[in-house]
Amino acid sequence: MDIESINKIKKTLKKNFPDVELKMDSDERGILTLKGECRDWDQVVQIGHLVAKQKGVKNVVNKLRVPGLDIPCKDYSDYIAMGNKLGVVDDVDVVIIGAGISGCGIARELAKYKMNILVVEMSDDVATGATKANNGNIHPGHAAKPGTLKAKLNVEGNRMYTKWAEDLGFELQRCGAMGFVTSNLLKPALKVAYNQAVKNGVDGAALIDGKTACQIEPGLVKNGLGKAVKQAFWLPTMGLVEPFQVAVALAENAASNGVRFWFNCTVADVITESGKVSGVVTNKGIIKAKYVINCAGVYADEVSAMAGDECYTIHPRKGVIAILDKAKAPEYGALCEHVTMETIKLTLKNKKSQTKGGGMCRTPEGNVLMGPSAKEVPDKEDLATDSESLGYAMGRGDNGIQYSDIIRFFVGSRPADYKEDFVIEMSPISDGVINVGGIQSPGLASAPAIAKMVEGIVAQHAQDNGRPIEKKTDWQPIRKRKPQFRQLSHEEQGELIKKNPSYGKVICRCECITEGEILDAIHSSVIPCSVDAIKRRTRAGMGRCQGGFCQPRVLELLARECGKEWTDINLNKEGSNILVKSNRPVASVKEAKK
Amino acid sequence: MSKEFVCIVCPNSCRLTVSEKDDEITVTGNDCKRGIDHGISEYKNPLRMITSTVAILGGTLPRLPVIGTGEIPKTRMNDCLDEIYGVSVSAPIKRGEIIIQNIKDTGVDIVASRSMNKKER
Amino acid sequence: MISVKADIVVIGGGPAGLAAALKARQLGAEKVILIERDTELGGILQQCIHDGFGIHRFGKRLSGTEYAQEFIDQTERSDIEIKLDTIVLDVTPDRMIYACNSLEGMFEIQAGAIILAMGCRERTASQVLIYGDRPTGVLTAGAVQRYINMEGYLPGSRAVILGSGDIGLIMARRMTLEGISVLGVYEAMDKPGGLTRNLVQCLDDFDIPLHLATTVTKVHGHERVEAVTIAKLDKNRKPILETQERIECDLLVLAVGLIPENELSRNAGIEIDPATKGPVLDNTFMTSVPGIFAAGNVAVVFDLVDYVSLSGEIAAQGAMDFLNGKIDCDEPYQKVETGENVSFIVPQRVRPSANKTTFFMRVKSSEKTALLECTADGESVLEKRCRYIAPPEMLTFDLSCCGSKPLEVSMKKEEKL
Repeated sequence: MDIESINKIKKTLKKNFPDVELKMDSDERGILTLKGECRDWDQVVQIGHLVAKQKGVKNVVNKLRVPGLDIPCKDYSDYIAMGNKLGVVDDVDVVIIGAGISGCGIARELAKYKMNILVVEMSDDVATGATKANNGNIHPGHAAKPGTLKAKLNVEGNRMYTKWAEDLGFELQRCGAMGFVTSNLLKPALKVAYNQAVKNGVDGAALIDGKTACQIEPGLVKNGLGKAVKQAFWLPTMGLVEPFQVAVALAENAASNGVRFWFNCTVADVITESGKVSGVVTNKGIIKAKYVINCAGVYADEVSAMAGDECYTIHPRKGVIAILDKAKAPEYGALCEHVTMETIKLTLKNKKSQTKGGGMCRTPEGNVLMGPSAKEVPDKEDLATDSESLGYAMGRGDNGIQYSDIIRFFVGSRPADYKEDFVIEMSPISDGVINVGGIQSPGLASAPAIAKMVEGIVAQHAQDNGRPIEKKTDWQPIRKRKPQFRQLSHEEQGELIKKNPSYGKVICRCECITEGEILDAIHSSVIPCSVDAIKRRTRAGMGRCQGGFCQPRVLELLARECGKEWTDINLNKEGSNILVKSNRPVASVKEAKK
Repeated sequence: MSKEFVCIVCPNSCRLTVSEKDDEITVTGNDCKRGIDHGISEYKNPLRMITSTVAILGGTLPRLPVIGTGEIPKTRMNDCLDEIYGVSVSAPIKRGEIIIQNIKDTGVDIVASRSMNKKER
Repeated sequence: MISVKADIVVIGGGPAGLAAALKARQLGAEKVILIERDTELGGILQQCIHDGFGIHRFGKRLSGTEYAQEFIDQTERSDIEIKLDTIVLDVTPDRMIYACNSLEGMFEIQAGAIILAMGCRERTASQVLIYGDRPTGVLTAGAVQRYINMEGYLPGSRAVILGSGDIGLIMARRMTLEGISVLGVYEAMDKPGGLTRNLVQCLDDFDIPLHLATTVTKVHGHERVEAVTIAKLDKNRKPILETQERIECDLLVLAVGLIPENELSRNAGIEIDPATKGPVLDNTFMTSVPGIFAAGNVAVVFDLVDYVSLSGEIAAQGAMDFLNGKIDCDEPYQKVETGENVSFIVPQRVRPSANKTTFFMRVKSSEKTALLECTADGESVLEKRCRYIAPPEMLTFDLSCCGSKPLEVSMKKEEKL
């Protein structure tokens, strides 16, 4: 960057943060690296955001620190030592780092080609990061800032979801979204939103009158708003999915097309030779690769830095989501928001502080979701809930929702960069490393378009390097949906049990999940090894008793089918075995005295 | 010498003080007569019911619950449990079947507190 | 789909269902079907290996398993049709039951009368708003009890228990005897929830401390629980931040209350009482849907299994009366109001023609002495002196004739007795 631009940024910073002593480096791409000391973490994030907004800044590497605040940083040295000791264990065309929605989507897309693809995931299963902890919205693309990569990929991705759902056999509900006003004075607010949707190219976005709104969403009349609604902003393409189901479907389809998945495998270093990537070092050994696709979520910045390209910083922004009991039925079929003066003010305030969240949503299964909240935290592994965030997620108390309706609340961490946009590109520094970073909301909705874009980058690069990739002739895009007992009629249920009696045994009583479904999951192409992995695939344990009844049964099935001891079955990650030891020694058989 | 106990004979929960002087035991703090007997018993030789499980082979479950035919001295509890923990039996078992006779010479038998069938294969 | 008919179908083979099925058969029901979702009868009693069950009914202190065996043996000797490993998927208001199992597949049963006896479930960590991480090692008391007593596994080595009801206390002793060190029992209320007997024999015997007006606010640990944060609670039951303390442990056991399992009831359109979280019942323990009855913890969470069995027998009698056309479903109800110091009462309403009616109730606050009074339109119809009443202990009384006037039950404080 030129001196003039840098000075301008320095001036802006001095004006806004006069007390902060900053050091700033830049490169020719417009990557700015910040160093110095701040008052608190919020200030670190604020400065990062402010700099990212300045003209000519491509992205921000934020190394600002707070005296006395220990920022936990993953120590990879043990993993590197383990990997080097094991040496080269595999040689592939593509290594995909991270089995979240982006990694699984890309794996499935690239599986079309005659390439050897390996997905490495640090956790025990697919979809264990941001993918599992969001509200499953397939956003229409109206909310993203026009001109951003987010806006483009969101609109494209939304369109592509219909085909994904058909091919991959997961549930997609195009429920639509509606913002409505009950005061004529607020119509301009809807107009502003509408204009942005049009600008982004959102399909079917429309401003509709109150009567039409009530026809589309009968819940309005039921709630006594039939006459009150003056105008509505209607987005018919809004969709709902269970995000982990999408990731599982992608992974299973990828696996049946030859992609391999390694779990509990942490990438600790990226090997480059004269500006070209040649592999990765993991705790499971060195994997040689022509392409390394970085879908590492909150760790994406660290992986990029391992490859010698420190070009953005992920600042985790955690959000609490509360799931309500199904007995608390959603009020509307579509996702509806009553736009009032108050909500507009709140939205403007949130925009300023880069927080996004709040509101009421639902899962395709009909559980109401509250939240998420938004809180910037220095620790990427901080997934702790707190009362303040839950309070924010639950709303202001005028929505008829009570804490006693909650069956579970949890935290997801958004892997945000300072541009608050997606970073999807081939690294100009380490050839062969493709960054897929900063994938926060609407990352789920954009996933098909992200996968397509990465496919394009790989294909182009391969072409340019004289080794064009070739499509397989036997690629199978279809993943058949497995039976879901609860969704069948009694007659169909009967037929299913006749064919396979294990569907007649209900394991999870709250969600009506059968042994047959759990066995299907265990014997799938991407094997779930933990109780939580079974939960994500089948919903067993997701209901109101939270596994109180079915956990021992799921554990038993996992142990039996995988040939493991009960004490080896984890709740999720390695080292999270639910049972510690047997309480009686295995003694010799001594008949009871008669 | 004196000791304090909470009486559990009725929900009144009297705080009993049991004192011993010249071989004579006195109980104070009791609201009723039953508290005296309880106090003396808790002071001299507190008794407790023993319940636990033993390993069972070939049963529908891996553990069989057991119970004492009477109370045992509190002080012998760990001794008795140690013996129980070392035992394993085979299915089927009927409730009341003796698992350990006269455990640790307490005069109490340890019996199965439920029936358990063989696991069908 | 197989289609069968039965006089009485009992859903749930725990103590309530067993008692109801046996009683219905004794009273002459020709075909009684007992449906149990587990692989054996007995329900939660099968994991209650401790003694103290059946003092009212059998005059001795049985273990939960012994108590269950008494009923199971009788049931197995009878010609009651037992369907194990069978789940009921739907109950309709016209008494059609849809159920399935591996052997028979789907089947429907047209029942003359239905007795719901599905029991209850435990409240979870999210429901009591415990914040922090979500590692392995946070389990409900019932789950721990099952793992230790039935499956034979220990889920940790250093435990903190939240909740001082009898279940929490019993588990403190069980875990201690199994070699788990129990660091303390924490109770949000300022009084212990369990019986004195259990406080003495489960905590004092093992020097386990009980911390009143204190709760667990946070869980720490990535893979496994490493510690919990506890805090004292102020008068409004809000945590006092200055009193926060970190306790290193690897297991948090939650004994924080039970909720009746009424998913089938709700789907059948049965009215639920927000106070008991079970169906609104009449003097025959019939729900708001004619011919569907409820018994045991599905109706209201009982503290004594003897009462659970009793409620099953009451419901069985009601179901037989319904079957024999002895219940006039059009006869209007009289509501039973809760008066002074009464948190709930079951049944919640009675028919004027009712004969002897057994009521179950809980009080809001403890009293050394009190006067139980039942009034009909302001006039006293029953008075009963009670000693040492407390919220955890259910009270029961009979009313020989309910009459046609609105009833109110109160527990009045008495200075002298």
